[in-house]
Amino acid sequence: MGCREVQQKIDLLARQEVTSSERERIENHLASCETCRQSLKRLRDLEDVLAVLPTPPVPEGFAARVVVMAGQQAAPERSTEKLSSSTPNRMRLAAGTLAALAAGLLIGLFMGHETWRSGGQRSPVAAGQAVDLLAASGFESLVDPSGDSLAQSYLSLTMAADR
Amino acid sequence: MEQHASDETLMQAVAGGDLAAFEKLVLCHQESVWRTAYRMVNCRQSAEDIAQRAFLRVFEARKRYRPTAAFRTYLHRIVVRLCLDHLRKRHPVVTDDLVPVDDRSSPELRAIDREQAEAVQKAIGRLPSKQRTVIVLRYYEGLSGAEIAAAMETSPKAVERLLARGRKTLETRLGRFFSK
Repeated sequence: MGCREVQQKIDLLARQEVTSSERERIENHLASCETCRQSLKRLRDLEDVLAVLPTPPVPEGFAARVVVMAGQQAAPERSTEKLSSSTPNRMRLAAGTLAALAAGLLIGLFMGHETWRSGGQRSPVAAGQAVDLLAASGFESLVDPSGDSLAQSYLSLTMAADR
Repeated sequence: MEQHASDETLMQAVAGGDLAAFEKLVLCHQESVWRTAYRMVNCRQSAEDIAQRAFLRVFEARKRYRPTAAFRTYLHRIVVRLCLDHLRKRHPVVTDDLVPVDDRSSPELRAIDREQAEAVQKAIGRLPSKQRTVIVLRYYEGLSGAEIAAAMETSPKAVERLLARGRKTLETRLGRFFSK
């Protein structure tokens, strides 16, 4: 065992925390190494010097204060436990409500989309009614009587103007 | 071992909400917890705060506590974490005056003791936080290398290295007080 290892284990030796084989190896090393013997002496001196530092007393009433705080901590925990026993039902109710709202929103969006898509494909009756309204408004020239798209009407107008 | 069994029995009772059992635990370990915190942070107010929080954490975790290690080690782990957190957040300045040394027969002896105690307090206070931790747990709380490793959540080898470095520094700073 080298000096470095002995130096690290010297503290354990002083406190009887080494195995018997380690103790034997350390003591064999110490028998022939003045440097490590001096290290062991310094360790013991250090322990004596450190022991001089006085120990301050525990603050008065410390335990009582801690127990009171623990008791205060325990009281809200007991209330929370009662509350949390109904939490699963509340969560289910909230989840159900959200699901219903989401479904309603989706249905609404779908219907709106369908309405938008079917906006250019009105029934002939509806189309005819729209044409009458246009005639009454004076914009009948914008409507092709054959019922074609507004684009066709525009083209008809522009071609007529070119002529 | 008997103390360990007793702590375990008390913790079981605490898990069931028994505050009287919790008080017994506090009374049994308050000195060690307080001393460790005080030596680490060198301020009575901060040390008391840390010590209180350590016990309250034990209480908060009472239902989750499992005796995988000795209760004392478990408690020291909490104290060490709180102390290291405190030191990380603040400068480790020595703020408290020394507690008066024991009364001796002569003023000269009291003066020598006081000078030595101040030097020790200052030297420990200047150690890096992890070296300070191992020195305090070793030389003031008497924890074994394995217990210190468990409290610091590190390896016994790392503890040995920290102890060796901490001792070397203290020997340099306090060597003048060693016996010739």
